[in-house]
Amino acid sequence: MSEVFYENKVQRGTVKAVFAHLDSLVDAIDEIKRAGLGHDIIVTSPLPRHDLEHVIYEGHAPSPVRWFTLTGALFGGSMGFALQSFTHLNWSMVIPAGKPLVSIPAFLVITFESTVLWGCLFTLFGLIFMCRLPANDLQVEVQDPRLSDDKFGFVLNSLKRSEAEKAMEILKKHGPIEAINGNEQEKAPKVVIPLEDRGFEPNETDTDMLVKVGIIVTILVFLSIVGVRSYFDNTVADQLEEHGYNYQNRATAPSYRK
Amino acid sequence: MASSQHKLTYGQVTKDILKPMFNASAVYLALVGIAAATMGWGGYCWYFQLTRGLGAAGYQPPVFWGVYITTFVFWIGIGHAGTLISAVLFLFRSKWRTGVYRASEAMTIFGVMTAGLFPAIHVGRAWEAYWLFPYPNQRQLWQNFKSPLMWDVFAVSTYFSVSAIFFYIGLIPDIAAVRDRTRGLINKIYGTLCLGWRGTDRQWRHYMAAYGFFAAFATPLVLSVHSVVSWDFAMAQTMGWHSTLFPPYFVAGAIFSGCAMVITLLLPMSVIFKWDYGPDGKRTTHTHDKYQKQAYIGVWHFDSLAKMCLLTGGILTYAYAIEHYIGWYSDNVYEWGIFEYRIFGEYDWVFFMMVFCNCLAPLVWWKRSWRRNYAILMVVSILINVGMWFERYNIIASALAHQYDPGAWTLYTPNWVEMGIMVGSFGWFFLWFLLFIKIMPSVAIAEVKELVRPPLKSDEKGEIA
Repeated sequence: MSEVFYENKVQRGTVKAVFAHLDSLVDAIDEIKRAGLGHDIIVTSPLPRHDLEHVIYEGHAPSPVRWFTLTGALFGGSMGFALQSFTHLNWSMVIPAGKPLVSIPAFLVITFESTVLWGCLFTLFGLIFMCRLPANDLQVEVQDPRLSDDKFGFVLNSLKRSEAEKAMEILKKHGPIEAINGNEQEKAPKVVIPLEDRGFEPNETDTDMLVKVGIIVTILVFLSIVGVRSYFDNTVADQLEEHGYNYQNRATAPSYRK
Repeated sequence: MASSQHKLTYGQVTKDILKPMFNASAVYLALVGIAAATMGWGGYCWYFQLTRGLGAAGYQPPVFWGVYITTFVFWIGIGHAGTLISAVLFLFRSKWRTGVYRASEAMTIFGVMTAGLFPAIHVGRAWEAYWLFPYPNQRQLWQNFKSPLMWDVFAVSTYFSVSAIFFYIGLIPDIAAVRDRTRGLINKIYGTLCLGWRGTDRQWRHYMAAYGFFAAFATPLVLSVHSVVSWDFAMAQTMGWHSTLFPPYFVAGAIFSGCAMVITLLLPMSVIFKWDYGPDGKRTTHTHDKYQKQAYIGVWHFDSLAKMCLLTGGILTYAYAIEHYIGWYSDNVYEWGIFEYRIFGEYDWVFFMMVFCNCLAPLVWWKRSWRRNYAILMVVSILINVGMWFERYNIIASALAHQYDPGAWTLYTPNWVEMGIMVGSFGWFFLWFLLFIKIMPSVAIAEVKELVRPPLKSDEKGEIA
């Protein structure tokens, strides 16, 4: 039985609550916002939930990722068409039977592919930029292993002492499984998360096993090559040679025309 | 899967899906060994061809497109179901997609990776394959962008890039879940791979927006890639290829073979990992099982995939029929000649193999209980895969071997080098897939949780939610 340990530290001026129920969390966010304490909140969830997004981002414009997508698609489309046109004009000697050098129907395919490719790359960049990924430096409160499993986290930052107390009061009313006020936390408690019996870390026997398997696989590959090759040499090769088919060292394919 | 209250919870989902990771049974290791050995044999055949020249492949003039191009088209086709399931069905909000999409996407990536090997093998001097891509050089030489082969390079590389991005983006929250259940070095590796994902409101908000755009981009790509591949043939003045029917015909065939491959791969997987169990702890193989929609990958998913095969298989059968009808109705002796040759010539067995596997065998799935029978699902899905390989062989080899001038007619038969590389490509594909299912969550954890009823206080109080 292996376990994961997590130090449940909450900084000063921060309040953290962990909820097991989605509706309690939604109600808590709503009330915290109405009490004017929601100026700097982070809500984490193991899955995307529209009800959370609605209550947090009420009145906000949609995610700006779409502008990255549009820019990328326009850039890709124009660049794809330009690449084809300029390269064909650059070698203008080749005039294929009086057909136009810059041919829109023939260039549409690569223009389309380029639009999609660059649209996706820009969207990827937009996602990374807007989410500030890689996000390894996120505050300690959200780095809780339970929050990717079945719990919802709610972190309130930049609170004055009185605000933190008020927030704690509101949070506790909604029944979180834990609510910690960073101003009052002296020593961070250790959270132990038990894992399944069949552990996620390879132990020594597994490592030994892997080495053995590696050796066996290598031998198997070698034997199969030698075996199949010698099988060919002893069986099929004779038949091939009867047909004048020297597969051992052959520069051009023989003709089978009758 | 099994839980005492017959109700799936978020915690149970994480536990069940992560369970098969990182531990390897003897059967699994044996499969890895077989896949690696097959790949090694293919690698040897390629080495044989590289050292002796392209003459080692069984090309017989004028047939210079043989098993390599056949297998290339086959693997590109396999790569179609994944993005169809993950992107198109995402936009249609189809619920059965959730359980199967991760593994199908992985199949797509590995399928396209396998396909990508073949142009390089086929051109002979694989080390100069980069000539296919446009890059500035001092000779100012550029590719001919009006060539369908060039379109294909762009289509396949774009498809691979977009599918890989889509796949990775989908994996990020699940890699984070793995990170949170590991320690030590593995924790560090997964922590880096998930880019420090914590599922904050800000991250999810932009993530969901971006995911929608990826899906929207991937959707036309699914339809475009095999259309472009079909133009490799249809743009040529070769009888039996030169047809406007090809793009829809190829796209339907690709989705058909891809969905069949998804069944072939996921069926044993769900049985071995017990992902077809309902929350009551019983296998959901019954025809009318009330829990069948709650299994991660179960009869309901396979039933839906089989229906997808029925639809696309029907389109494909229609395309075969129309293709031959047009050949006959054209009153063009060359055009009809090639279709007649396919049915009655030396390649007749290839033709009938194709008709049997692609048109007749899937018909058994019209019966609901047969669509839900694991043995029938497995056998028919493998038959479809075989049939789809023969379809491409039928299109490519017969048309080239039997062109306009009877003096140039020949009979192409693949030799051991080509067949070895073809078989080796299966080893390469299965090796990647086998490694994938042990190092990444092969069912989307976060998305399966979306289907589970969220934990609500009001439920516990007995109120109506």
